[in-house]
Amino acid sequence: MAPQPGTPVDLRLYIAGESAGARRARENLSRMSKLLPETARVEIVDVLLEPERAEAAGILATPTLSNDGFDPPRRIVGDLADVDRVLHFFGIVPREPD
Amino acid sequence: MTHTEDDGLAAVLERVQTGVEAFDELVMGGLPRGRATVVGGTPGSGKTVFATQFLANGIAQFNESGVFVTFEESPKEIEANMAGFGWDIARWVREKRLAFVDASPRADDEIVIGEFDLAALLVRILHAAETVRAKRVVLDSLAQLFDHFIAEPKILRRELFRISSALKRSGLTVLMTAERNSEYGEITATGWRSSSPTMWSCCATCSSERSAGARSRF
Repeated sequence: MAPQPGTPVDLRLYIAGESAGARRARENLSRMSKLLPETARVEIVDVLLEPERAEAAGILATPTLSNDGFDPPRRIVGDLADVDRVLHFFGIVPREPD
Repeated sequence: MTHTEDDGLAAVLERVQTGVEAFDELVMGGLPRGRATVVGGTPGSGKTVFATQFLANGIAQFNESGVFVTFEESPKEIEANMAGFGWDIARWVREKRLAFVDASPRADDEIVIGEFDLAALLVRILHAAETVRAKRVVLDSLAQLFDHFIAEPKILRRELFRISSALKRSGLTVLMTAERNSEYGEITATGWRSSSPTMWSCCATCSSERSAGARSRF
């Protein structure tokens, strides 16, 4: 079921160091950031540096993109290869380019 | 004296007593130290109890701390279930002799898009092991982990191999539980039925032996 548009966008990307997958996920996220609402928050968490945050959030796989604007959070595991699907899953209506 | 992984000298590996006497006798004194061993059993055969015994006896009898990685029940549930055996799990957690890695299912809505690994899980296990200076690690059960990523059994096999290698490098003695659907059949579990022999041999290699008779009925 598609989520309600207008749910807050509070993204946390969990990665493990500088692996190829981490790099691809960061690139895809940065491509996507132009399309996010202006109020969106984006944070990158390196689990190698902050393992206790992976534990607290219950992250198993990397990369994982968590939208904590939902309760419970909505999560996408993987390198976010398909930006349209990511946006759709989070109910984000892409912003018009300036 | 030196020996390599594959020279068939499994008998000289130091053994880690599980503290379950009948079992330790069966497997030459216990599980091989610094290796990963898989214990398979049918549903309800007591795999989780056996795995918990391995950790609990380690703490209570041999002064070896442990990490419990749970893919099924939550730490709270395990604590409640095990209170009947007289194990005060909460106290061990407070005393930093036992740590949980809670990988039990969550309510989160989750999908997979693209490639991934289980580095976060590995990092959590290593972090927990470091926190309590663990010697023993339990992963219970692999079936639930495979269920969680049911569409990606290949990635799971690769990642599980990576995890057991990394734990081995850290000198940890690892016990993993797996499901089998009949007492003497091939080791199987929902989600990796077709690929289970590979799984089994991967983990058997890690333990240098097949832990003959290492079923969880005891």
